[in-house]
Amino acid sequence: MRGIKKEIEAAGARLVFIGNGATPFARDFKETLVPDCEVLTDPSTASYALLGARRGAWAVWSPRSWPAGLRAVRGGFRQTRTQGHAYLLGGVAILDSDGVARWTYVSRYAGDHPNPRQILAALNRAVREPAA
Amino acid sequence: MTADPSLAEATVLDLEGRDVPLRALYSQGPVVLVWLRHYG
Repeated sequence: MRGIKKEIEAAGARLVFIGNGATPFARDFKETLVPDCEVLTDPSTASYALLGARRGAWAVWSPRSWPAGLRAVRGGFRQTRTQGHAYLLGGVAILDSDGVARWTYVSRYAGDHPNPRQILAALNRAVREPAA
Repeated sequence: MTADPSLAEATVLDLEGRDVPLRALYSQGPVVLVWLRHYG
């Protein structure tokens, strides 16, 4: 996601990460992984619920997540100690300047992420076309 | 799946633990919000 930050900004938008752990974890995440990005946190997970994020052990460890896990390992990523809610998935939303969710993606299993091109296409639509 | 319209009124925390209403983000222009599964 960080790879499309410049394109997001070129479209006139901001990229913001929201985690669910305590603030020290969020600070560490920002410093070590995304120093050039805005990071916030929601330990209450209320915003996750409003997004419609899935939760539960089966959602996280579904066999559908295994190929994504393998891809991550092959790509050099290693999950360290879980810092936040262990059985909560994430997602993406594009909010326009009126707060209308113009596009959302809710992860179906661990490692399920939207294609960055999908995000950019949705963002460009949101910027170009006012909400109905 | 469609997000709850109340999402726009949600509040999260900054790195110092201060409240940040999502409104403060999108009121300056469109925002791409990425909810992480975990930090680790």
